[in-house]
Amino acid sequence: MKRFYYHILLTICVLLYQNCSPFETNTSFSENSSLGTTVFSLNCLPDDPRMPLASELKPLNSFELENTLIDLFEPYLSASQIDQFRNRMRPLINEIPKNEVDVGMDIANHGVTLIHVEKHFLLAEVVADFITGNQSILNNVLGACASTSGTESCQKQFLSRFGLRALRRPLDNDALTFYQQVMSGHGNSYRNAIASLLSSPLFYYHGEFGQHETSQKMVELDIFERASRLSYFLLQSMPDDELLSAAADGSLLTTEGLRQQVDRLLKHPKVRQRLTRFFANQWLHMDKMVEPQTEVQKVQTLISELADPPPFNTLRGELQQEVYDFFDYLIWEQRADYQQLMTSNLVFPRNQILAKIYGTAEWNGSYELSSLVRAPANERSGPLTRAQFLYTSSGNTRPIMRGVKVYRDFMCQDLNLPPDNSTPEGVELKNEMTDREVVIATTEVPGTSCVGCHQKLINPLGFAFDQFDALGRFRTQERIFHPEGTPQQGQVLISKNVQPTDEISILPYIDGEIKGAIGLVHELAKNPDALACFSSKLWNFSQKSNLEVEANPCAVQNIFGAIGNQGSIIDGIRQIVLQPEFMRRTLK
Amino acid sequence: MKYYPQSRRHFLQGLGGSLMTLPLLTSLLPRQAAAQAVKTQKFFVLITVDHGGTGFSKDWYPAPFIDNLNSNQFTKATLIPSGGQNGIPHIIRHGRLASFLSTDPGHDGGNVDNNQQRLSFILGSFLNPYVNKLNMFAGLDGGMTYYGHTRSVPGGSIFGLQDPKTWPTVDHFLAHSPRFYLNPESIALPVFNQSPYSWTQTGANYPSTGGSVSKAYEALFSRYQGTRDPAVVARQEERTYLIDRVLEDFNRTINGNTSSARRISEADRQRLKQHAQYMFEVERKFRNLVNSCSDVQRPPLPKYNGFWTPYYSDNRFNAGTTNAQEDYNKAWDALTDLLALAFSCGATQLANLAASNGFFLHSGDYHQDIAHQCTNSRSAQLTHNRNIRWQAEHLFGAMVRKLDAIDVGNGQTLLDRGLVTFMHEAGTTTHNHYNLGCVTAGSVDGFFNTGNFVDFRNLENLGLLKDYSNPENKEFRPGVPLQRFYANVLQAYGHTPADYRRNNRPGYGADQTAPSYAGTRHNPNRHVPYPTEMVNSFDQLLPVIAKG
Repeated sequence: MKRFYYHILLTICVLLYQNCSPFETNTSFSENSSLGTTVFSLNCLPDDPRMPLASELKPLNSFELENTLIDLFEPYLSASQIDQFRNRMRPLINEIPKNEVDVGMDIANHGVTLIHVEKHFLLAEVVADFITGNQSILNNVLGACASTSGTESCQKQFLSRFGLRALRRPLDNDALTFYQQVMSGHGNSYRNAIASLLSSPLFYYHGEFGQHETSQKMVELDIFERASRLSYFLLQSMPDDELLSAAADGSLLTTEGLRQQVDRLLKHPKVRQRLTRFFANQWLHMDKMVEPQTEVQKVQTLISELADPPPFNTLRGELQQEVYDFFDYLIWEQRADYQQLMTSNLVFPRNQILAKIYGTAEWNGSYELSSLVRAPANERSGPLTRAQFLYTSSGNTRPIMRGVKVYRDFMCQDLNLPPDNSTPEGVELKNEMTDREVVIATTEVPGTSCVGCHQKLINPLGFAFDQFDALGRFRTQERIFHPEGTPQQGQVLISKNVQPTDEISILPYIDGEIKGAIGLVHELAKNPDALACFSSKLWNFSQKSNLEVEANPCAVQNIFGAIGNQGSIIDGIRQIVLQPEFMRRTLK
Repeated sequence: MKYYPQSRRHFLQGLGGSLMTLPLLTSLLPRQAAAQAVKTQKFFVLITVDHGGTGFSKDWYPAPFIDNLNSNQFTKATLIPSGGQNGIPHIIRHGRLASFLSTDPGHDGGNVDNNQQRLSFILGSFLNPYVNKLNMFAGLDGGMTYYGHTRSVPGGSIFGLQDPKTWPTVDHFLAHSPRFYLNPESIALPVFNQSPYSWTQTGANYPSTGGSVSKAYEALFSRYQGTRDPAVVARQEERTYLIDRVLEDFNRTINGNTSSARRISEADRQRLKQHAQYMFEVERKFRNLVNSCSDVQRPPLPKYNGFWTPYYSDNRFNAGTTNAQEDYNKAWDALTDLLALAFSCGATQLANLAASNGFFLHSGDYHQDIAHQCTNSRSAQLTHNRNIRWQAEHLFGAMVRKLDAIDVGNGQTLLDRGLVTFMHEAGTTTHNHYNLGCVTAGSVDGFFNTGNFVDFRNLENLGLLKDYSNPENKEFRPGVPLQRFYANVLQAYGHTPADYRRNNRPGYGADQTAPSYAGTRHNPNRHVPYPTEMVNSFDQLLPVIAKG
């Protein structure tokens, strides 16, 4: 049993023994930082082989695929053509099945099915048609060879130049010969070349076959694979020309050369936009917002209270954008550390709807200090109080789901599904009950299998957010509606004062008095284990895995150290790239 | 067709024999044979009836059954030999369905069927020719904590549409199952989904195709039209050429013939081989589709083209002109035509349907005025049952008739290759969850015995019910939960329990509570889990009807 899982197992045992109160005994590992001591499993030993978890050949995910295609053809397209290109591609990319996981980041699912393959092939055809169907675009691709495109030397030149970028490595002679045959065999030669390159295994997959293999099946990535690994973490896309050049001239192999490229890329606007956006999506599962239950009258009532509510898909996009803006400003403008990220009360409502949810003025899109918008005192603090996080798509506040998200995504703790999620015998639910009272009545019945985890873990975490209604608005009172199906449905039956959690004990994260969501978030912000959790999320994200912490305690420890010692989140990102495991792969 | 000198056969030789499974071999069949293989794929149709609530009456059930509702005159079979609910063996009753035909006059005096024999008023004489290809059940139970509309219970998604983490309806499970699509290429086929009872989690190959006959045609067949255009044929040749080259490219990498992949590991090699197999199937799909399904022409559209109905508020639907009923019938006729043709030519293998005729029968709020009044008002019950008869005739009956008219060789009709399930949303009264009305047609290529009436209720199990004083429970006995029924259905399509189980729990569907204990409807607090013996039986074949 690997160390991490041993620790988790130990935790679960303790947790079960103590009715779901984890980490009662601090018997485990420790790591010092300015934040304090963790009991998280950052157990880096001096002889650690620094070996990544064995992984299969990973395909580009949809986000990487779209970015790669844009970056691949961007040099040949005008701004308006890029928009056309994107609009042409996107419906096809959307048809590629989304790989998801039940718990953790979806990017850890590397599944390839028949549908993936079919849709990708159709996409390759469409892209090839788009590029070769417009002579001026094709001429841009061909460059100096535009007027002599049929000659063998021109084809070879095209393949060398375009193939390097498409396959993220130079084409060797065999490959050049092969693709030249593809071009000369049938029909439109350049269409065939582009479509076949985009369907190649070296395009579709992260072709990390490595250099020499150790006895433990671990390989060091070769230099072009290193360039790609770096690029697909930071840019979420293919290496740009400078990175390919650094690979070609060997400078990427040196620590200094690598640092130079990392520093350069961290200033790249695409890195800022894509890394932020994709990490936020994966960490907070923002793509998984479900449609609101508009057939429920009280949901209609709630939504109607927003000024001119937009369609859900629009609202979803706006809620997500607010999170992106928040991350963008905190991480890249303010160079925030974890604590600052978690506790900032800045909000970024680009429109009246969001401003209404936050109870603020609209944000004008500027990062000038005078333009920044702060939430009313003691109402918002970091990602956990974003409207996107709090919006439930339901008529109630779903405290259980809120609690589970905090427990899983901010404490890195796992929860098994309850053995029996039916309502216990004898529970009587009254119309006047608050959401909290309903949850307590149904999940905290003594003697049931639910009570252990709900009473001490899930419910207190979820109830901490009682101050926010189902739309994410701050409130001091909960309005309880008449039951659905009655003539008064959608109307308020009674209002009660909200009572957010005031005390919570989930060791080692929190133990004692808190004041609602703000109190909870502030405790997490200064808690070393929560930071260790965040560090592991970053590392997992870089490795497209949910399990890498098990194999890479040293890497996570170093990231933890970089951020915990008054470093910024960007320092943590830089630290990721400098870990030896980052440029390695363990073959399955 | 122009082929590059190094063909797919060469590629196969390069791959070696390790992955040469049956589907791959069929890709080498002559074009005609391969197309034929697609044509006879198994299919599944789920038709959901709004509300249910037909009552324990001769309107739905055959008169010989109602007249002997709790008697022992039928043949018995053992469902659970010992340790059933309350420790009582669970014994079921059954008989040949044909023996349940009768001329009982029913509430209509037999008029609508010209006094012919029939199963019941709803399952009228239009089903008589197919009675040996049907199965009819009593005592099929759903179970959930709250039983409301569109909770997907008929499809096996016990806890309903609202929570995407719960079980998908069985059509969704099949839509993504390589075992259902024996030709892997077919997994990318569209699913005809017009029903609000389908799970909300849609996949790339599972959009809603509801709306109208013209939309149905677009969804199922438009892709094949014009495929005989020389330009399309030329495009197909180009595509075939390209796929051959892509396969060669994969072969180069798999065999380590590229500089970057000289050290390719066995696991990576296997992954690329799998990818190459998928490419084969993609190519075969494209090739076959050019040569089949293209004969299906756009049907003449009735004046009233739509067939969508919102799930229960039928009163929202404006019937329009005086000929609307006739046009509406024509729309469904056209749709069932299209579906039968689509199953026949391989354009789809799955359909999920729901419709109502209630808005033609009642101009007010059908949901509240009719469906919810059935237990209190004989008039409402009769109106409701007329509505369900229309669905039985124009959805289920039409599907059965059309599928049985298509000969697929070997003495089989297309109906024999699949299953059409006519499932009520709720039980004998609206919003209860036991004794869901259900009739099926087809044997899934002989997996199911057909021509049976099976009463799954355990007549001996009286001790556990809490509320026999409630009239609606008078005839109620615990039966078989949908978990076991759908486990059987999935096994019919080649699945093993390991394919559909979660957390190693037997059956298909969420952890159900036993409605047998509930006693009253609308009361989730009175449900308790099924006994262990019952749960452990969920993967077992159902006696009488499943032969495996």
